[in-house]
Amino acid sequence: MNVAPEPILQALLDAAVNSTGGTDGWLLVLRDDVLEVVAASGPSAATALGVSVSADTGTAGFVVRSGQPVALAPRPGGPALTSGMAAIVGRVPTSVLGIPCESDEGVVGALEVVDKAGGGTFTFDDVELATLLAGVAGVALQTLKPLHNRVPDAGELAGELRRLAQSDPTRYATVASVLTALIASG
Amino acid sequence: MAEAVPPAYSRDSTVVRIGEVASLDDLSPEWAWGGATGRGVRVAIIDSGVEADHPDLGGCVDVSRGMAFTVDADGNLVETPGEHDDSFGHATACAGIVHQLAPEARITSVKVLGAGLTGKAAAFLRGLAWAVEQDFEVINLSLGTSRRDWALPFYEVCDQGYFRNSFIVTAANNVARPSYPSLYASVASVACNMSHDPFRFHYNPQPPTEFLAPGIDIDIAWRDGSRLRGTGNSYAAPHITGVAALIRSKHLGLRPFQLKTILWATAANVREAPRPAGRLSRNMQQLTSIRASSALAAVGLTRS
Repeated sequence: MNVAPEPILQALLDAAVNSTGGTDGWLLVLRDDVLEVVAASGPSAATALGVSVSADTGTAGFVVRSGQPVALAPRPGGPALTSGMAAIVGRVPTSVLGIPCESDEGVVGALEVVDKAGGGTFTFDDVELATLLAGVAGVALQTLKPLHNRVPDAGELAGELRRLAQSDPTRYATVASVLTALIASG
Repeated sequence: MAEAVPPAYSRDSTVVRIGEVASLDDLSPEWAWGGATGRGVRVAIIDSGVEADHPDLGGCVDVSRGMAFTVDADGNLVETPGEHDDSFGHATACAGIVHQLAPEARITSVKVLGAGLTGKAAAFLRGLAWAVEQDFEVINLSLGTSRRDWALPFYEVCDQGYFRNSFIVTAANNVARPSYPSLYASVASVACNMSHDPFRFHYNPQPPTEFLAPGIDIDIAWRDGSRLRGTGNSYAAPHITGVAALIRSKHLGLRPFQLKTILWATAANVREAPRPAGRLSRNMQQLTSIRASSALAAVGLTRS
């Protein structure tokens, strides 16, 4: 599912990826036991945006569970860090940076950046910089979370269904007419 | 469970006599841990579960004593004793660092980070409380929670650990955001320094972070018998844990505040300060000398 990212989240992620010298990055919001990509940066952005991944797996999964940032790099010839988002977008990262996004209510998501340019490893300066940006992202995610979770009102839903019905009548027209009838009947 | 001892303030007896004490001048690294291996010390690693058969851990993990804490669908805490795996690799990394410094210390894995996020703070707290109840000499926490509603329970458990004589080492947060229990005086909170010498740590005079230890681009053990390179305060904390295990194995009966004092005195920046720990300042030396001379003159003697 591709969704338009919130501009503030996209800007924060882009800043994190660019300032740390990463190639790809993902900002994930935590919903129950699932992490959903709400902003993506780099070559994998189109594939990653809107994707959900279990919070039990991968670097992002670990940082939301532990509350600890990590910067990791496989040794040459050693096992790769391919679980979680890396598996979904088909990357075999040479370096990974994972930062929890926290608000006053705890961890609300994760920021993950992979593949430091030039094949290097992410430095402690990268960790600190990304942690600061992840802190802002945490507040933004917490603020935006209710918008993502809220149930649209019936009129808004009917309007959306009408628009969908115009593009795919067989799939949505019946649902839209039922809903319109329900609204009309109060 | 340790036998309850009445607090000292309830006694009307005289001060407890201490058989032997070290002076601050004695507190060198050689005195503190020279020749020590960690033998006789039990270290708890509260984390993602240590991979006990990792080749770089040399069989130092007490598999049968391990404990995993989870929260079931009904919100009940579930304790599962015995062997478990490492869900990520983080706990194995911490255990590997401790084992590198204190090769004969016995490590117990307390797994609180596993599948699912439900109740993770509750599992974390219960794991820490269990380790305190088991009277581990050193407890490593390379994790924390930012949830303020859990701050007080963690405070209580860390205080219990302090009074029961467990030395709790935690990773500090990277930024100025609350992370519990790293903010408490009853624990030793650790961040990274720039060193790659595992025994080179620093004292930070601006708490809550009290010590700095190697944690940047560290070669660490990881799950599935592997190794990789990692950066973070998570890897700094087990360096202090390892040194604390060495000190405890050489000097039995130390209390946590004594252990902190030894760590302070043996920290690189304290050892390398112009005036080493325990020495009087020049002004104090002069003052002491003048007073001694005056006292001697008063009884008709002179200094030789």
